[in-house]
Amino acid sequence: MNRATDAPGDVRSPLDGSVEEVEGFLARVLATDTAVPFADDAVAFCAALSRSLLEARGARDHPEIVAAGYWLRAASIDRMRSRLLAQEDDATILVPRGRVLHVTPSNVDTMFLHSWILGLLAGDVNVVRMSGRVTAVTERVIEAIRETLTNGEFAGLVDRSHLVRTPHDDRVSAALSAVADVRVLWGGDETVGHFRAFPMPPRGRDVTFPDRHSLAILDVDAVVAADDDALERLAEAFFNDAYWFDQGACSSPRLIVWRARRGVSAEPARKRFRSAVGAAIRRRGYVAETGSAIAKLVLGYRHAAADENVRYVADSNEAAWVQLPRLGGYDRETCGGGLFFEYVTEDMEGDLLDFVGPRDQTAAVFGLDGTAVRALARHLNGRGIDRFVPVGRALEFSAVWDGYDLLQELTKRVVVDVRPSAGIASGRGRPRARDGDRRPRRRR
Amino acid sequence: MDGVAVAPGPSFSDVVEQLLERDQYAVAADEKGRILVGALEDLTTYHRARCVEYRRILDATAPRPIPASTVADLPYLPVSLFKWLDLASVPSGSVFKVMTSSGTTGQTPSRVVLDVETARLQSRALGSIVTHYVGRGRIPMLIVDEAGTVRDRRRLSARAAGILGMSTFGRDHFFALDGEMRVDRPGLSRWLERHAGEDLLVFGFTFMIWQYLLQAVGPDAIDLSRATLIHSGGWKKLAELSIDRETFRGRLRDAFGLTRIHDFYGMVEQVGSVFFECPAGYFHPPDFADVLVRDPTTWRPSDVGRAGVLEVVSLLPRSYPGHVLLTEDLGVVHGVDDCTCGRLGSRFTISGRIPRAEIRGCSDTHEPRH
Repeated sequence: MNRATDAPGDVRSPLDGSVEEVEGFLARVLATDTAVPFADDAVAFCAALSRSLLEARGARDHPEIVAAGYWLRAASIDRMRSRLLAQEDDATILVPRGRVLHVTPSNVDTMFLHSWILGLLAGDVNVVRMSGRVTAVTERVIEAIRETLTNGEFAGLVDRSHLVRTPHDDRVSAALSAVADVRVLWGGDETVGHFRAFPMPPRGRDVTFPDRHSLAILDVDAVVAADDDALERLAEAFFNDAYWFDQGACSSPRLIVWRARRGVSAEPARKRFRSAVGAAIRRRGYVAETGSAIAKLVLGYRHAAADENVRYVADSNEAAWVQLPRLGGYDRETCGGGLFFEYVTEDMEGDLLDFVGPRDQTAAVFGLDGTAVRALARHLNGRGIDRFVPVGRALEFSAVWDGYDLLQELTKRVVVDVRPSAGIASGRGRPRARDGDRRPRRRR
Repeated sequence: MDGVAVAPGPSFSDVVEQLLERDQYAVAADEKGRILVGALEDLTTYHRARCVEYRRILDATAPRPIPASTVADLPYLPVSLFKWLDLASVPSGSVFKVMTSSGTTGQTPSRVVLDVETARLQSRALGSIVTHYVGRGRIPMLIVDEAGTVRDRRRLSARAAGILGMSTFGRDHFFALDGEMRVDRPGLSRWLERHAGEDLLVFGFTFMIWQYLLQAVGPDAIDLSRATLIHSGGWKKLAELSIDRETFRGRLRDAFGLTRIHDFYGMVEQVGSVFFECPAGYFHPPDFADVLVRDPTTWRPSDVGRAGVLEVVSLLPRSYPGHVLLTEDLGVVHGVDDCTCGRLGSRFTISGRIPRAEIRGCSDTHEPRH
């Protein structure tokens, strides 16, 4: 039954526009069977959807769509498959967890796709509660999904793929939680807190993505030494990390930590970098709203007011830079849209050891070699920063995210080990231990 | 607060005194610019020495030539900073009054602190403007609101503050609306009879005038042909109803014979910035304040006739550094010293607010906030 506006207990499908009450919807979900992990049709679907996204109208204007399409391509899915199925052996079978409720965020338009696809590949029955926020990117992606899913050969996947939008109704959230084996909660502290209030079955578990903060670590000497081409490439890469999703993703760098040698000023490097990023912004045609420019000014001035020696530079409406003399007062909050806090350090490991915490997720690095990065990660020893990637790959989604191996979380391992013990090969009676009668157990 | 002396030179207090004493709107733009830039530069130095947060903000941005040669070269604060920071140039013991903006639900209100001197200047500023339009001497005043709005003097909403501020210019105040926001017709008729033949002052919020006063037109004529209406509060709600300025004024004329109507634009964040609309339909800054328009991309001052973001300046704020502010309103300066109403200085209109930047939170657990 289609209603003009949704009543509180309604569940709407963006794929076909149908609306139904939550009870009816749940009955259908409960009646659906799971499939085996990496079933052929699911794998083939990913390849088909990949092609569909890469060829989607508007893909050219939205590199996020291209990135999602790329992630779905056969080689990528195949790697995930090999990695997961390597855990299967004679005594271990991988099975889906069952029903997965994905609560997906409003800041990263393509996250619902990643979450859902992993659940689909895991063999689960998926309810994907999408953000109410509709953007050009989500519309294009839904279009591509709709086209591909309605293709006859993938009909079997439809029932395991309930992409829905629901009004913000506690009754619906509670009902969906009550039947979920796993809840994948994107959307920060607020979403996690909100959903934790709704009970799950005792076997149910949450995979949570609370508020995260990300940074970039750039080496001063490397930026100064880079030739113009290399600098341009760096600026383009940084643009991708910083400006996709208007700097709103958890992996978007909000802070730039400049590693400097003792006594060497970071100013030339910073100026060069700012200028190159400005050029990248113009090339890519990113234009900020006036309100965003003012929001950055307000936040920048708030920081300036709070401490001595803060410096604020806004080259344009698109990029504002707030240099902090110390990290102690930095609260990790941003208004996004191109506001970058900067901190120069001559003791990177020491300063980051003091600063880094559980909220810190991604560090995008440039000019640090693998040894230095590993040493830093070792030094931090889990205080924070779950991923170190090169600048340009901060937003590259991986099935290992925020410290979770998501395919692992969405599957179970069933132990099948029915080898009879030595001594009861005939299955009759129990062995009697007799001195001198012991024979070594044969191992297979 | 440091014990630092005010910078030597022409005292901005003297300048303000002179400008408040004269009849308003009589200073030509060039002369006004010269007077203002010197006094505002002095005020910048004054607040810099007394408000540590303000000094840090000034120090955080690129150096500029001091003294500034034009008002546009002075550093500005964005108006919503007053939602987040308590900026004061006086010790807390000297705070006489705290003004807050109305802050619609879900939004943090702005707060500014006034000492006795700033509050007094605010009163005098409003007085010099109102008397310019309405004449000296208190006249009978009709308030299009209900008496309960101003009951709690300790927690002044913006509506209450506006009413109380204007009330000093009137006498025999009559609240037109009862507790249910209906026009008290018998009361209103009696009040009008009492003051038949006299000039009247009517004050209210724009939306309330439309919603309550105009809807109450009935068989008995309400004659406001001798009244001056001063209304404030923006046009957003009326714009949602597709009511424009001409429609609003036309209905008031037809219903009540009301022709002297002045819109009033001001903000809690800047004392003294009270802009009344002249009969030709333009806002004019008083002589101790001014407005300029900035291009929203380059932030440089725009040419006359081009729309942009409004910056407002005022010589009045003493207790807090609110003398040069960038608003979140868009507008146009249409001309300078050339208004058909005869008032000198800039004439400007307001086009609307800057749309709020959509800040992407990652959570989607609540209905979107507007």
